[in-house]
Amino acid sequence: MKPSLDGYDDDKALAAEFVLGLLPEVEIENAEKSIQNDPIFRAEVAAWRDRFAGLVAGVAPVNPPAKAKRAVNVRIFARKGTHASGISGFFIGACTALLIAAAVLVIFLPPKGISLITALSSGQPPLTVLARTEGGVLDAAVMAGGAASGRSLELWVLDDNGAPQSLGVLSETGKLQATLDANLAALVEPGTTLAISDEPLGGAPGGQPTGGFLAASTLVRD
Amino acid sequence: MSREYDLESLIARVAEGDRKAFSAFYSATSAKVFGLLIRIFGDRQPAEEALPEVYFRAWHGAGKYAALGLTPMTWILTITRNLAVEQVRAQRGEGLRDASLSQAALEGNSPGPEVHNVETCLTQLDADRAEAIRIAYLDGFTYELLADRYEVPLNTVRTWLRQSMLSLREYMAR
Repeated sequence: MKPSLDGYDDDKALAAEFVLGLLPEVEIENAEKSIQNDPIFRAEVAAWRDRFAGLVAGVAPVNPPAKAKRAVNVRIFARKGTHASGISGFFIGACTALLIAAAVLVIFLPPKGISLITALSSGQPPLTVLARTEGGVLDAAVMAGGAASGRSLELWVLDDNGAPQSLGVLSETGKLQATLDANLAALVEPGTTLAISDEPLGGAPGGQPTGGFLAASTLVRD
Repeated sequence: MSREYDLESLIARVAEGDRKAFSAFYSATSAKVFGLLIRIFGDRQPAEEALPEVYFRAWHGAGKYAALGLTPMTWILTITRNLAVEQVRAQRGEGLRDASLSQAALEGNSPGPEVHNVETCLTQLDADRAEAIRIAYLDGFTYELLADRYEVPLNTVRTWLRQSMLSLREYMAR
């Protein structure tokens, strides 16, 4: 049913249609095979991507807000490994966001006496934690739920590169009190992301979360 | 072009899991990506929601970047466009025929100074044809939507767009 063009032109038009996502299912498969096997077609596809990307030159750049960068870091580095397969990454992201709204609550007061608060949530299992910091001292306590049997909860702060830095491991009774060193204290400000993870008893052995985060959320002024 | 070189080396480092390189790549590209998301969604909120997914795909796709033969900006903009168009199409639903056009598509865009002369070359096509190409890319119009919009049969619109794109290709090669 393809409109007839000579073979050479047909491939060029086909590459353009492929890039725009206009091909019917059956033809997509063939095009993907051609990309694998035919260097000329592959180059034609790349050239069309380039041509069409030129259309973006007329689109005004807009700086995303700072919190978007943190959301990006959470999406990439706060991976949760327990979702069923077959769910797209986008929906996993959406589900994670929903989970964040449900069960871990952290209240956080930074050194200079400014109160910061954030709500973290984990639906599975439900968990609520309260934390506070004042003068560089962090206090956190589980209010509901808790670590799984034989496991520990660990609290993290994400640095500017999205790398998690441990704030400490919650005790068996679900409490954590810690004096933040200068590096950690400097990270704690409005908009900073805190995260909580499920770890082997005693905390992550390598200083990095072993699985994914149960929940992550950003600090806001109380 | 040293900028492109820089972005290429950043992508190579991102492929190795280098978070600092990722952060730099984000800083260099996110305004363009965010602008394109806003353009395609026509709204800031869904653009903000989609942004993490764009960079999630970039983070995991960086290892395959070199094999694609694309410039860094084309690569990240292609990821952005395809993600946004997937979502826009999903929201429209298959049967829906009243996809609205953003004002920008109707007015066309002012050509940027660099990148390509695609906009200049589009002006050499009939206005309808130039618009069809633009909205297929920036609004994710399918052949079904294009056929409805221009009130021509599906096969006709396909022939018509294919010919338009071949003409565009020719103009751009000159």
